[in-house]
Amino acid sequence: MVKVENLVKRYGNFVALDHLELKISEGEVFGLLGPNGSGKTTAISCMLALLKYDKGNIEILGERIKPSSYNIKKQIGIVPQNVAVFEELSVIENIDYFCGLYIKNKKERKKLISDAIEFTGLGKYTKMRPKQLSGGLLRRLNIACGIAHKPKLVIMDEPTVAVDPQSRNKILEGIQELNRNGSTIIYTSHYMEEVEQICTKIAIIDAGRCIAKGTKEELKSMIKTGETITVESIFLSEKQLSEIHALQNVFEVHYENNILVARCSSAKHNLVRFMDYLQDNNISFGKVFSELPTLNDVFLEITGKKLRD
Amino acid sequence: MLHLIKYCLVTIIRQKQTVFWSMLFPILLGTLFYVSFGSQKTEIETINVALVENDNSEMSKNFINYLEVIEDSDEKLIKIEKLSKEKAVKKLEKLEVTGVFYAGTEPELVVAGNNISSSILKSLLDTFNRQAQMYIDIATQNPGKFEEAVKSGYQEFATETTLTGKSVDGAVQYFFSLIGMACMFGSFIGYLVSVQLQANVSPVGLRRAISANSKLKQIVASTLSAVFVHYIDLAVLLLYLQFVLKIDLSGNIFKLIGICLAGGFIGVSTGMLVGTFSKLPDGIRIGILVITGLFTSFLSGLMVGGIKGLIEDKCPLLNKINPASVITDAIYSITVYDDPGRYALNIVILVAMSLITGAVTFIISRRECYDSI
Repeated sequence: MVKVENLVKRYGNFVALDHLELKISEGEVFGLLGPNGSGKTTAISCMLALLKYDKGNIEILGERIKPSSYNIKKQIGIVPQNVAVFEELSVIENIDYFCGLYIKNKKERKKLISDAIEFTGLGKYTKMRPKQLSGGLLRRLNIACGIAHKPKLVIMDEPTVAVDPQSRNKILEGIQELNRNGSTIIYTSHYMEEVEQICTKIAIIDAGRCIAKGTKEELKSMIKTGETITVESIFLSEKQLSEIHALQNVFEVHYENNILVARCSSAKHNLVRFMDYLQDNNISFGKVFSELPTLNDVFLEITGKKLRD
Repeated sequence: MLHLIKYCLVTIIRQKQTVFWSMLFPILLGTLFYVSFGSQKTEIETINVALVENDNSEMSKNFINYLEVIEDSDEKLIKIEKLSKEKAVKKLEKLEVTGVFYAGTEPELVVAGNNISSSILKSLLDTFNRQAQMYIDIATQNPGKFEEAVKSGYQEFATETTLTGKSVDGAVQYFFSLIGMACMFGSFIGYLVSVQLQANVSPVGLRRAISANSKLKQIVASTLSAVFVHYIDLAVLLLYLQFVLKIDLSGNIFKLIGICLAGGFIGVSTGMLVGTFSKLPDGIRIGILVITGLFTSFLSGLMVGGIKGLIEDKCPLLNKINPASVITDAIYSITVYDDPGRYALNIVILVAMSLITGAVTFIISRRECYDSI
């Protein structure tokens, strides 16, 4: 459905997109994961023919997209990062306006608007102006305006920024439902939990480059970390620290402020071996956590920095 | 297209700031002018003037005849009181007369101050001096035609007075400038629609830019809506001035509408142009609109009555490139001068300005693909 080949975008000497390659198939929820400033929004803007690029090729629905590709644009819905609605129009007027940019027929539009309102749960707020809505409702309106015309491809650029957890869950559930209804979704975020939760395929972007892509399982299998064990309120000597590092499958140990973080390669009974060592050496400790690798671990191992750095 | 126009109209009408500057502010200012100037005076007040006969020369007699013909004219511009020099000076000191004419071989004028009345007296003297030889010739060769000649010269004087920017009714010029300002304040409507069109200026502009609707269609719809609302604003203002404040905007109503159509379009397109200045913060762009509107109106005589005439004397080009001045002058040309040539020239200038600002705005606004967002 979307093919991005060798995409390069420069702002003077700064390279915003560095030979970016993406391939998004129909029916996917494709996550573009990367820290702020990594080039996600720039990539989206290029895909929408809104931003000129220096090199590369972008095809959507089998055609190279240009600013005048209105037939392709008809199939695309966009939920921009900033809420893009008219302050002077009510909820229902906003949805009608943006839907009307794609659908001329009034009757058809009426049905689509009603579906979008139901989908986003804005039924009680149709007469309200954006200023009267909470942050979460405003985000939902932003989504409703982008998807009302039932596009084949929905591009969502960080739609949950500054949204409370309850609204965020509603939005994420909605995106999954959209996908079930047949839309292909491109979802950009710097929240790895969201991407992990809803995306069927993920591309990790850093400094304008795609540094890894695949399903979340494929991405996690690319890295050494199989399990991260964290122990709080623990007092260790240098010798004990060395001994922990020498335990089977432990390949990295980090000890700071009486908190121990040990990274282990993927294997059975890592936690049991760890606990046995602490018990045998009569070491007291507080809480213990064992976590499977996250996308943040993937990002950390590949780039040497955290996603939210 | 109708869908776009409908919602564009709604967004403009519901924008309080825009409605205030483009519609309410000119009405408020007009009301303020009306209260400040009192009721409109469409008649010239008769000027009391003393006449001192210095000698019995031909020139002196002709000058006295000249003044008497003016005194007897229908306009009742002056009322002469023949006095001795001492009495005349005393009356002038007590401000019982505006000036003292000295009839002699070289007619002279002494005035008590510098106001419109004293300017009119000076203009009367200037007109006589310029045409003195002609009056002497007529008086000696064809005395019966003297009165006709003076009246003809007086008409010329009346016309010249308006040509130099001094309206017969000084207060009306403020209302003419007010119409010019109202036309320019259409820039607030133009600005609003322009901001909502630019993907690199507003999120709404971004969403519209990537929709399945061509930018051209959206620009046309926005421009039509903005111009339409502005014309309604101007119509309301004209009706308010004419029928509520009873300002005499007589003259050809169609010509006045023509001025407002061309002038209003300049206002809207100026605002649309400022709206495309994506690198400037919103506050600065609004500031540019306010300053542009007020400064052009100031130069057209909105705050200081004589400034337009002063500019006409010192730097006439400025009056020709200042849209508010051109609008004001066009209104003068139909209400005061009744000069179709002057009206046509002003309309041509306004249309040319509209086309230039409109074309520049269109070229900048129509981009669909940006270097940076």
